[in-house]
Amino acid sequence: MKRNLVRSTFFYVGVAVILMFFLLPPLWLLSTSLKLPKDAFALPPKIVFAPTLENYASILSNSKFLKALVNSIIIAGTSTIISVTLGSLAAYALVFFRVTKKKDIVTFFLSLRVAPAIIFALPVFFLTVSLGIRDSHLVMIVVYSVMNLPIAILLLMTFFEDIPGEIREAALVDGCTEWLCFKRIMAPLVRGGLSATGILILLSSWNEFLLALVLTGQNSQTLPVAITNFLTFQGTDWGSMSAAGMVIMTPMLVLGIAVQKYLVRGMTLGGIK
Amino acid sequence: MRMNLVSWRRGGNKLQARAASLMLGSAIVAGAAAAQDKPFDGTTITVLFEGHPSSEALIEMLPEFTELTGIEVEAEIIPYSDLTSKALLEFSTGSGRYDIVMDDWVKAVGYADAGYIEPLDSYMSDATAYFDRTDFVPAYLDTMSYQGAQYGIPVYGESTFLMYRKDLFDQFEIDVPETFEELRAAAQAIQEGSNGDVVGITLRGEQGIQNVYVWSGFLWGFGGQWLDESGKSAIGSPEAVASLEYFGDLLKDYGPPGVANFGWQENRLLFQQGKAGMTIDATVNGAFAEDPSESDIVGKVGYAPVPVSTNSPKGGSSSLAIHGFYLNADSDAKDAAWAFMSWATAAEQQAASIAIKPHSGVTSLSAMNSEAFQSRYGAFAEAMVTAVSRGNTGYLPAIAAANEVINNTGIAVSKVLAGTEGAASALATANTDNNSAMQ
Amino acid sequence: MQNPQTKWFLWPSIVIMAVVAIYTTSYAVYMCLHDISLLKRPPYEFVGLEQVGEVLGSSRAHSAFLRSFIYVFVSVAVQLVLGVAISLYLNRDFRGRGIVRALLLIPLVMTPVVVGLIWRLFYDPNSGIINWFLNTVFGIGTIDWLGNPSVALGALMLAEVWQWTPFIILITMASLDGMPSDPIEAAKIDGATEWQIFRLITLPLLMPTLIIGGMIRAIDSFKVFDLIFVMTRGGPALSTETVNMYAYIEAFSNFNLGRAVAMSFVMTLIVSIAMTWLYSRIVRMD
Repeated sequence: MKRNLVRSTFFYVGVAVILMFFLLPPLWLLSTSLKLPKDAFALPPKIVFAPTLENYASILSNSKFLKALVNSIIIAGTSTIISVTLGSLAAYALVFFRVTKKKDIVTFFLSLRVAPAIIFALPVFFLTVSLGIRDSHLVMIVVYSVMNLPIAILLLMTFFEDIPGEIREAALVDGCTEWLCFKRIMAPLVRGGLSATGILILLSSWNEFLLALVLTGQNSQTLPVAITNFLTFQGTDWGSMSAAGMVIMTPMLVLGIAVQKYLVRGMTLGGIK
Repeated sequence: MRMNLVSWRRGGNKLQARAASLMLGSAIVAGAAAAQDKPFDGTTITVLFEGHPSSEALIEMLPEFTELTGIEVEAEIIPYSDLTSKALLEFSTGSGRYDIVMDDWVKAVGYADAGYIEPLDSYMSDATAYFDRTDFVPAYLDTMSYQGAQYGIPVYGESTFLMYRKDLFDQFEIDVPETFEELRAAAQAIQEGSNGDVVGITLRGEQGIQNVYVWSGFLWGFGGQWLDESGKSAIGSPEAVASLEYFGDLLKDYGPPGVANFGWQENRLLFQQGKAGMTIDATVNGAFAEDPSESDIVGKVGYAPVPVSTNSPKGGSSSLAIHGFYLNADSDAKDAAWAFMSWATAAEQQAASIAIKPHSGVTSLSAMNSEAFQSRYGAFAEAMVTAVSRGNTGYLPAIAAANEVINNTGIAVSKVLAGTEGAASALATANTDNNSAMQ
Repeated sequence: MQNPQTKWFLWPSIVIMAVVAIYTTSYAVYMCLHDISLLKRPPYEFVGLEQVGEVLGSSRAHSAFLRSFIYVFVSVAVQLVLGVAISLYLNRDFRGRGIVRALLLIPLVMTPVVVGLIWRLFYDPNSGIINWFLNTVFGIGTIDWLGNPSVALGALMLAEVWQWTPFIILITMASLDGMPSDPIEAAKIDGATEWQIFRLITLPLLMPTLIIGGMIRAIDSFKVFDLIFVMTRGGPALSTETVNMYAYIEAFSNFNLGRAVAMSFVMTLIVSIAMTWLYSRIVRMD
């Protein structure tokens, strides 16, 4: 009994150390966002301090930051809806239809997941420059939709594969059209998969940096690019930057925890169920 | 002080008279323009501004310009580091989206070379409602020409100087260094005298334009140069190697920890927190060092020219960086754009801008002589003006491939600072790369 | 026979992706073969394979490729070892297991740019918490984490390991949960040591998961850009310049778009052919 207690105490100390390592950076971000500049850089770090909301007030009244927030919501949101919609149709067909060269099609989508963004970035950049459509929401929505479509397809395939094909066949025998069958019966059955896919895609567009850095400007700048603006000529404003970091990360954290059980599967493209 | 200004100004003896007549003159011009039919009424122009106090001041003054001329000005303001790529992107589309772009002259040579910007000579001689050639610091205006044509109009100018802690120099009985040998001895005396509490010297070490901007002073001061007479890269020379070896050793022995990643800001903060005995940087840093809300060392700083180690340098070791407005060759409102460029750089606006957003880089002689300027920057104005007058306009290579040349050289400086490669071989690599970049 | 509905369901995606892939590739080929610089006005000079040759022959590019491979190999290996070790440690019933799992998600959803900024703050040689800690607890003097070329790449990799080890932990834990307990019980009765059980039973069963997880991490760390951009921008002395970073500098700081594309083209060929082949082997076709 006593030995057990000692052992389990040691075990929990180990767990605490592990959590310390992985949670220190986000906790640091949180505490810096609540500190005045004079406390933020104190060494040893101030664990007890008078919290202030000044940093949040300052970023929420910063029109550039707010604009970037709105841009991020519009761009990531719209592109997610587009990729999930197109992706679910394609995945449905790949799973349930007899498609010739199915294997090649899947490999094709996979190869697009592997290609580095920079090879995509330069031609698209040059195209938008030549067409004079650089720095617009539309460009970013199209770019992110295309970037995430292969992931959506591959991932949703694994969710559709979980559903017995007989359900669809029975519905078709009953005179249901393919479209209605997809919309009314099959899509609702993979609701969890759809939301997990959506959230993963939203997360990847929300956090994306390279394409946004290259393709956006004053009008369409997204949050990850906007936050680097706190590294200003006049000195880094770490307080506001931390508050901005919290604002960027919190919605994704909430959504991520909501679909936790699908998330691991999603991150491996369904390779692990 | 005033004599100093006069002495390096062409035809300086007329200065007082001009300053007086100028105020009157621009009032008349303003009145005349208002009375005129406002030829550009309703025109809209777009200006890409560099993030700098002088720009912020101008943006606040835009309503006055609109009232005066009827021209609407849309302003976009972005940091210096992003300016050139942003401008080039828009230039290369030929869209004329920005009628006016503001940038460093070193970068603008590339714009001129590509034909992206318009020569201003005809505007300067024809449409001179606001433009007064004689009121600009002559060296500033003269620098901004390429292949015989004037391409830019100077908004602000900046030089570099040595900033040192007068109190520490007194305490350790150090004389202000005039050569690099003395600079090293001073750094050693401070660092050892303070038992390492205060490092000898802090400089920018970050790879790229940051470390190149500072090292270039050492290059010139040791008798080196960027380009030889035939326009080939010359940074493989013994002088250049000696200067880089010295630069690396100086920071290794007497520089602060982390100096390899110091940009303008980190360097400035360390110095104004009193943690370093000396620094060599842009003259604008003087304004920060003397600002009580920013600095712990107000009143303790002395200012001196960047040292030299040879009697016959090929160019001065203090920089002369000039930032100005350029007119997009694809603009469809060039005359209105010129009206803005010349208005914004005229004496009256420059003098007013100091009061709105303090900055020490005005390019107008009468603004420089104004009471507001003298009272605010008296502490270092003289050293700054001397530095500017001695400033080397070829401090950084003003060529089309400037960016790439600076990047290549920055790598060499960074390698030597980090001790991964010797100065001779690092500079030999950069020299080869620079020559192929300039082809 | 093909389902007639295929054209409505599948073709839009295929057409979109094919158009994008063909356009991007052919445009990339065009850019590769022309000397495209933002400092020149069109028409651009045709230079054939000159730029590709320059990339293949340049020692700076070689180092960048090598660095990318080191970055990927070391950081993925560390993530795998650390991730498996931690998930084995956590592989028991204890109060708070669900909370621990949820908390481990936090690094995964954080924006890499923000992660880079926090670590940069931690690494600051003068006011960073890491040096302060090492100094107070172990008496170790100042280390210039991001300024010393021999440690800077390692410092970046630590940030990468920090962010993505939880991914390996979570997939390994999920895999351990689904593992049959019989063989392990039987081995215990036969007197096998813990190490033997791990090596002969648990690890082989975990292998498919670890291969997939490792592949995904490898693919994504080849693409890493944001962390490096925020923390070092490839410096000091090029010590953290990966191929991605080099291509970015070539394109947006030197304005040689043609050469930058040549570089990323070579990288894409090397990396994606190898990865796609391995990946399609392992993930989809097993």
